[in-house]
This record gives sequence, structure tokens and C-alpha cells, in this order.
Amino acid sequence: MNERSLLAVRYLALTALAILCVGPILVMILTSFKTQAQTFTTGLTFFFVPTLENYRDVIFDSSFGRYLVNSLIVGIVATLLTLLLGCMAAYGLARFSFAGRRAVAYATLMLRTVPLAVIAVPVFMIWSDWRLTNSLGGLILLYVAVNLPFTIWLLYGFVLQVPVELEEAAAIDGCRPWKVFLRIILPLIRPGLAAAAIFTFRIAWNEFILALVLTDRSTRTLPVAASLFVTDIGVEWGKLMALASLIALPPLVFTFLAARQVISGLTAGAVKG
Amino acid sequence: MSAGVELIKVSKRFGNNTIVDGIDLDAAAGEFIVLVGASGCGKSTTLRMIAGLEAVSEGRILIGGRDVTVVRPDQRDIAMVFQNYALYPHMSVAENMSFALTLTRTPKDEIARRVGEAARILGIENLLDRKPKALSGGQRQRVAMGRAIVREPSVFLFDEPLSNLDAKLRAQMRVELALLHRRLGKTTIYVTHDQVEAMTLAERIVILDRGVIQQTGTPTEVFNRPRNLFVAGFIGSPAMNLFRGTLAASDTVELPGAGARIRLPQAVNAAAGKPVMLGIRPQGLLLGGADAPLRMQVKVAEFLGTETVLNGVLKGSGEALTASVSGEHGGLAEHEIDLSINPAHVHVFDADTGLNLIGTQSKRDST
Ligand SMILES: Nc1ncnc2c1ncn2[C@@H]1O[C@H](COP(=O)(O)OP(=O)(O)O)[C@@H](O)[C@H]1O
Ligand SMILES: [Mg+2]
Repeated sequence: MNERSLLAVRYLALTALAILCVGPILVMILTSFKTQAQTFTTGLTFFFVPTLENYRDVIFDSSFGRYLVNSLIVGIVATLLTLLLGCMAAYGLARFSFAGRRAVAYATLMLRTVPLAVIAVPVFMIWSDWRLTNSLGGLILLYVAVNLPFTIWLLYGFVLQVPVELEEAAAIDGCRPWKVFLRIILPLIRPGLAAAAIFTFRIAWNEFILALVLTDRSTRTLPVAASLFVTDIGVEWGKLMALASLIALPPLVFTFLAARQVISGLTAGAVKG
Repeated sequence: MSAGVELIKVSKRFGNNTIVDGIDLDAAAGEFIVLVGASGCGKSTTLRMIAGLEAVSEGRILIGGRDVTVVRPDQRDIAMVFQNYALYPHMSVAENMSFALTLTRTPKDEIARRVGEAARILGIENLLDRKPKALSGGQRQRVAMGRAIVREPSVFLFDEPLSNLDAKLRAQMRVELALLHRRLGKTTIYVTHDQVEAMTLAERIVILDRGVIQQTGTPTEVFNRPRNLFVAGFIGSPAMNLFRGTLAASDTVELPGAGARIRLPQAVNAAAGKPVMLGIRPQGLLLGGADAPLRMQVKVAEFLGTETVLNGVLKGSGEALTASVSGEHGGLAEHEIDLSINPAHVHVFDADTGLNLIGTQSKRDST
């Protein structure tokens, strides 16, 4: 194969991949502007009279506000807690020597490979036992637990890149250990914190299976609320897609904002003098 | 304000390894002390103990007469310049320099005054808003020094501050360091593996080997009266020539291989027949002369501008021999030449203990 055809094949593959990624999102957005009848009559065409009815119905539903607040609380609190615990654990792993440090470091990463669905049943049983079901706190605890390993592992790498001399210079300059952590380490691992925040927030915001199992009428998050449009008598596609589109927005905005931190951190040449 | 630094029998162990072994050091207020030794001999560890970054296994450390052995680094009234500068990457030059002062809640105008003055002394006024990554190596070096100066400590600690610079900049910064010390008059403890830096900067040199002080003295003392073989080989460039020999008389050494008898500058107190090492500085060897006892097979001749360094071997014994002779003698490569000796540059060491047999100075230096 010559270079031109190789290039053509590559572009073809990339285009197929892009269609696979963008296609479903496009369908979601298009469907959200259609009436239930249009959903089945217009197919995939762009030519239809769009309606905002689905969005109006979804947003002005009496429970939407509560579910939105639930999702925000779960997403933000879980992210903050994960970052807080994660950066301290990563610092400890990177800087203090203690028995079993290596084991902890590896176990941390391995935990990350367990799929969420696998732990749904045991989690439900344990959470029920400890009366953590049907509360936002229980859900937050779960998301912190599943996101912490990756966050620790990610931040561990960032802390290792900070030369110890910086901490020593700060100690001479008058920083106690806590201040060294706050004034030197945290600012320098900011790109890592941003990356971890993107990761954690998106999981906490989007996660469905465990949220479905662990919440009730008053503690539902938005993905669970969206599933209510799938009923015994049929699927309300328009509303489902409208809510799904709304759910997809905040992570997008958040990722965009946080990614700028990551990139500016990376281009700043990081930490090394 | 300047304060003396005193180390009393200070040792440091990591596990079973003794890295620093019973060091005694008494730096007077305002003195410039250089700790010199090969890589891994414990220089940094010693400096870090003085700074309070490393706990002391044994012994005591006094700064300005106050026992600071277990005092936190920021309470020791010291400032330290690290080999890799350790500038805070997320802070501007001005913030780097003022960080310590902001931590102690120094008034803003006072901070501005001190940062401004340090920046002026170091010629970095136009860099104050930059981040460290936008600076060259030499500029970072100055900022690191500025950060130390701003704190107005009693003692400056330097850990190989020039080793990351190229040769030309290093020579320039060396001069600036000397001027800075003269200007500020602060006690300085400076660590380096480079004996040229040690000789040019130090008021007193401390030579370390494997965690033990080999000699403490002024540059002249350690050069002219090295206490033992280690110091003799370490100080001076090119390194001192050392030949195996025996004491033929109290003032004569015989070099059996070369069949030469060398007169010592003075009689030594040791029995004839004693195995010794004869040391001759390359600068103490002269071309030709009436009584030229050493015959050298020159291999390489390096012309350095005012002198020529001849590298080769001593004929007869095959021991390595270096001579530094004035003038241009590049043509001597692969020739045999006769060398005479300036007795002032001759030393003799006990082959077993390594101690200088002429050294009467050992009593003075060990104080
Ligand atoms: N934290 C440590 N743990 C164990 N060994 C150390 C530690 N720090 C230094 N050492 C050892 O101590 C020796 C001296 O180190 P150092 O003082 O840095 O030497 P240098 O004279 O080159 O500055 C080295 O052999 C080094 O491996
Ligand atoms: Mg060192």
C-alpha cells in the first residue's frame, strides 16, 4: 500500500470512529426536539418542525428541581471529598515510608479495575445493613470510595514529580508540614487535581446502576429520574432525550473549564526547575 | 548580624552506615568555611544537619552560641541555597524572595525594601515578575541567592551552588560570591567537590573523606602542609605526584625504581629504612638544571597558555608523573627529559599511616 492509500484508510477509520461517537449524541439531541409522533415518523432526518415541549415538560416537572439539586450535591461533594482525601493519601504514599507502602500503592490501582456493576449487589446489602440506602450521604460515600483509588494513583505521580528540595526550602523559609502541603504541594499538583476532578465528577454525575439501587423518590439523581420515562406503557422518547441532553451539559462545561487547568499546567513545564 | 557555627562531635548514621563520623568544626562569626571532598563523602549530609533538615545521630550543633541541635530549620537563623536552586515554580521571582518574610508577617513596605535591595545587589531587578522557568541557569542561581539574602540570616549555607553552571559562568559567579561575602560579612558554610572553588573562596577549608575530617586549615596551609596523603592528593591541580620510596637518612628519600635520592626540605623524625611516599607538586618540578635527579618519559604535553603540563612516567619505576613547567614546551611530547626539584614542593608521608612526616602543623590544625 502506498502512502496516499494508507492515509485514506486512516481517515476512513477515524471518520467511522467519529460517527460512532457523535451519532448517538446527535440522535439524542434531535429526538429531544421531536414530539412522540415525530420520533417514529421522521426517522433520522433533520427536516422536522422542532418543539421545545419536551424541555418544558421536563424542566417544569415538580420534581426536576429536587433531582437536579440531588445530582449537584452528590457530584460536587463527592468530587471535593475525593480530591481532599486523595491528595493527602497520595502525599503520604509518596513522601512517608511505612510498612506495606508498595502493597498499598499497587492495591490502590488494582481496585480501580473492578467494574461498578459487579459490586452493586454487595454494596446494596452492606449499605442496607448500615442504613446508608436512600440517603445522599450513602451515595456520596460510595462514589468517593470508587473514585479514590484512581485519584490517589494519579496524584501520587504528580507528588513524586515535586522535588523534595522545594519542601525543604519551604521548611527553612518557615513552613510547618501542613503549610508546605498547602502552599507548595497543592499548587504544584493542580493539573492533577483538575484531571482527577473531571474524572470523579463525571462518574458521580452520570452513574446510573448504583444510584438506581441506592436511592428512593426523594434522593434520586438525574440519571435515575431519566429512567422513569421508560414505563410499562412505553417509552417517552422525547422527554427522555431532553432530560438526557440536559444531563450531558454540566460535565461538558465542567470538563472544558477543568481541562484548561490541566493543559496550562502541562504546558507550564510542570515542576522541574 | 552574624553568628558563629560550632559542630561538636557530630555524627550521622543511616541504619548501620556511619555517613558523618564525629565532626568538630568551629566557624567564627563572619568566616567563610568551605567543606570539600569527593562525591558521597558526607558534605551535604553535614550541611543538612546544620540546616536542621536532617536529624543529628550524635553530637551537638551551636549557632551563635545557642544549641540548635533539635531546633526547627526556620528557627535556626540560617538560609540555604540548594544545588538545583529549589525555586518555587508557581511563584514569581519576587514572591520566591519574599516567601519567608510573608510567612512571618513582615510589613509590606519592609518586604519591598528588602527584596528591592537584594535584587539590586544581585542585578536581577528586571526579573522580579518572572517565573523561575523563564530564567536562565545563572539567573536562577541569583534568585536563589536573593531568596537567602532577603531573610537577613546570621548564617548562609550553600550546597554546590555553582555545579549546574557552565565553566565560564561558574568562574564569574565565584567572584560574585566572594564579593557578596565581603559585602554582607555573614558566616558562610559552603559545600563543594571542586577544590578550585574551595581554594578560591574559603577562608578556611575543611577536607572530608568518608565522613571524617582529614584537615582543617587556610588554603595556604592545606596546600603547603597537607596533613596526610588524602589531602595531598586532593588539593592542588594537577594533583601531587606520589612515589614509593624508603627513608635513606633523616633528610633523604631513596626512590629504588628510579635509582634517585631526593633531599627533603628538612629532616624528619623517623628511622632510616622506613617505607614512605614521596610527594612532589607538579609545580615543583623544573626542566633541566645542574642537579636533575628525575628522568621522565613524557607522553603528552598540554600547553595551557602560560605553562605546559607534561604527563608521563618516571623512568625506571614507571610511576605516573606530571610536571607543570612554565612556558611553551609542546614539543617535549614523546621525549625523555631530566627534571630538577624545588625543595619547597617536596613532601614525605608515612607509607603505613599516610601522615605527613614533616607536618609539625598537625597540632595547630587539630585545634
Ligand atoms: N537519607 C539517606 N538514607 C541513606 N543514605 C543516605 C541518605 N542520604 C545520604 N545518604 C548516603 O550518605 C552518603 C553521603 O551523602 P552526601 O552527604 O549527600 O554526600 P556528598 O558529599 O556527595 O554531598 C552517600 O553515600 C549517600 O548514599
Ligand atoms: Mg552533595
